[in-house]
Amino acid sequence: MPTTTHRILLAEDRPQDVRLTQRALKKAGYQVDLDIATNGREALDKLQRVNGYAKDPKPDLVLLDWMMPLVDGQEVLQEIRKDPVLKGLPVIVLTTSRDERDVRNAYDEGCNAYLTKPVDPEAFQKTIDALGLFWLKTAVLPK
Amino acid sequence: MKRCWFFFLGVVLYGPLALSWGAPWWAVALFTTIWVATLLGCLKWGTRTQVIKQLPLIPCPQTFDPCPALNSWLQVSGDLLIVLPKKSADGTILLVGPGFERDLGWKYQDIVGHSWREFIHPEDVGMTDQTLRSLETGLVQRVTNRWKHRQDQVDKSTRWVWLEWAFLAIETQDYIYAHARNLTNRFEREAQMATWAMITSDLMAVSDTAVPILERKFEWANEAWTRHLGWSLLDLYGMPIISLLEPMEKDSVIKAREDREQPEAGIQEEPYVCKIRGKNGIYQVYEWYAVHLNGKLYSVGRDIGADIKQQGKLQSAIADLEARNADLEKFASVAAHQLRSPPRTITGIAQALKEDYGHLLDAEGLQFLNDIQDDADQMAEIVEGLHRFSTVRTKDDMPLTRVNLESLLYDIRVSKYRRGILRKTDVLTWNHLPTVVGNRVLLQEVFVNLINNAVKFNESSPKKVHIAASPRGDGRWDISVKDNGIGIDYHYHHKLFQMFQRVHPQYKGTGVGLALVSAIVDRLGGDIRVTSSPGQGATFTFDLADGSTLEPGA
Repeated sequence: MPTTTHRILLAEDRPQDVRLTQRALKKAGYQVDLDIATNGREALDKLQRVNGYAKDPKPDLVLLDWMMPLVDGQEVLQEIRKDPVLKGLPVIVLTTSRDERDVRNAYDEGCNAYLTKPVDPEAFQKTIDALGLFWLKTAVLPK
Repeated sequence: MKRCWFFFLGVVLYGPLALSWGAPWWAVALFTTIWVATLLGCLKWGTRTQVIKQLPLIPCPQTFDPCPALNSWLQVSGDLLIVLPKKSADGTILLVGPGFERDLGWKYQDIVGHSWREFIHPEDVGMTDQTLRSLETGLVQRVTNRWKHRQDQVDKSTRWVWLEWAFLAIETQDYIYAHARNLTNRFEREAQMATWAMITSDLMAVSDTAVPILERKFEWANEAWTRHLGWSLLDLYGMPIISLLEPMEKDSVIKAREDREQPEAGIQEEPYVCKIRGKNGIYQVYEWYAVHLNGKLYSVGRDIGADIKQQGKLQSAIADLEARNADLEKFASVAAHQLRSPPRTITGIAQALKEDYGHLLDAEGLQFLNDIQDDADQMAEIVEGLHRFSTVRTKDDMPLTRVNLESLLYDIRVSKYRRGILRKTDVLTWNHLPTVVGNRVLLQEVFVNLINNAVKFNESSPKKVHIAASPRGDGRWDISVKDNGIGIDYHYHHKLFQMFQRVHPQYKGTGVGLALVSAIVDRLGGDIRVTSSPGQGATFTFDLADGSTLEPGA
């Protein structure tokens, strides 16, 4: 199976979560170049290549936590969809919230998928497996 | 008087007769002198004290036919009638009508022969006397005075009645005819009205509706205007009423008045609210009620400043509570969000440790990792339960609709077997469940929790859960969930529905489930109760409104 290295921007404020996600992706066997933004502001700066991130390459996929300090997931998503360069970027919301209002808002703002992080580690691994299988292996992403 | 003339005749005839019989001239002269003196006395006495002892009042000439009839009317009349002598300083009453006995308790003989002064209030005697003295014949003169009630004689209480007199003296007669109307009732009513108007805290005013609204003035106002707003009655009389309105409100108030004075508007008006300026320039708020009657507008203004203040306080309290509630809701939602992550990462990290470094740990070390995971799981469950509890309590977009319990239970049963919460040998049954008023999501939460508990706290084999419904007769159904589980000691029944209360500590649990169920049933307008004893299973019963008559779309 030919492996392509995908570039993913993970916007997540909790380092523990970052490490667990990183581990699950690795364990799933996907070759990813994972870039981390610890809040929404940083994620937008990296995506828009401003404030010292001018040389950052554009990611193939964004994994977006919904509740983050400074600028939350909803605001990041709104900015991405407004930006003429970024608007087509696949954004997957990855959050603990099961609140139906959050789900509705996320889809209203134009997310490509809304995934919740299950408590059970094995279930979480399955979620990441499925995510990779679809978005990294199956789906064709814009260049 | 007639008797006097007989005397005179006797003297005239007696003189010549006595002389012809040979009586001495001086004896005849003496007798004649005595007779003349007596006659003069007789005449004088007659004018002073002669009393008409009985009716008819009017000496009836034979040719005046209606007169006897008129006298009959006077006998039956309830009017207060009196005849006084025209020329008498002491005012002896010559005759009274029967109305005095009927109205005031005085008998004929109590009054006739007495002076009217005995009956009139001392303060009113002078005025009455003056009126009587200045009577012109043929002209009716009126005077109002107070007349003693006979009650005064009976129990020594002083009671006066107000009488309005009409006096008439006739040229050809020596009498004054007097007629009185008893005004006491009217005066008392007026006095009561005046007293009420004086003591009430409502503003009262009378104005003339014939005058255009912009020029309308006070015709009368009560003392409340002085007490509340500082206006003296002199200030008010003649003042255009609209000058008291608040400038911003003026147009709308004038419009409100115009609308209310349309010909089709009723005499009793819809109230309206407006501000009135006090003498110190400060406005106060009144609610006005008015009646327009016979060209006059009678208005009463109720001070609603305190009500408005109270309402304002209430509204700000409600707004405050709503804000706090919103804060709480936000807090609960944010807290649940924030609290969800740590237990999840703890279990994840423990799992990662076990997988990646498990080979470095002995059995005890692995057990510690398991303990970490168990507690983190427990914590995650509690957070989840709290989040759902706060959602049930605060979320307002949960519309009430028809919920068919049979179809709901069918779905739940499928899911419970599929997820292994019910094993193949376990039995979940029901019979004839109604359609109720509720919310499918909420009711699912209720049944799932009750069924989970029924299976969890249950050592029987097979485990049995049965759901039944019975009508209560008040448009609601009692729904019961009965199990063959371990049962609950009576002493703990009251704790069952409280948050974090776990009555079976030997089983895993969070103590949130039944609190959640109770909160939902409460939200649906019902109550929940339990009957159970150890070893005898448990039956949870709650009530829901019948939904069969609710519109399917509602």
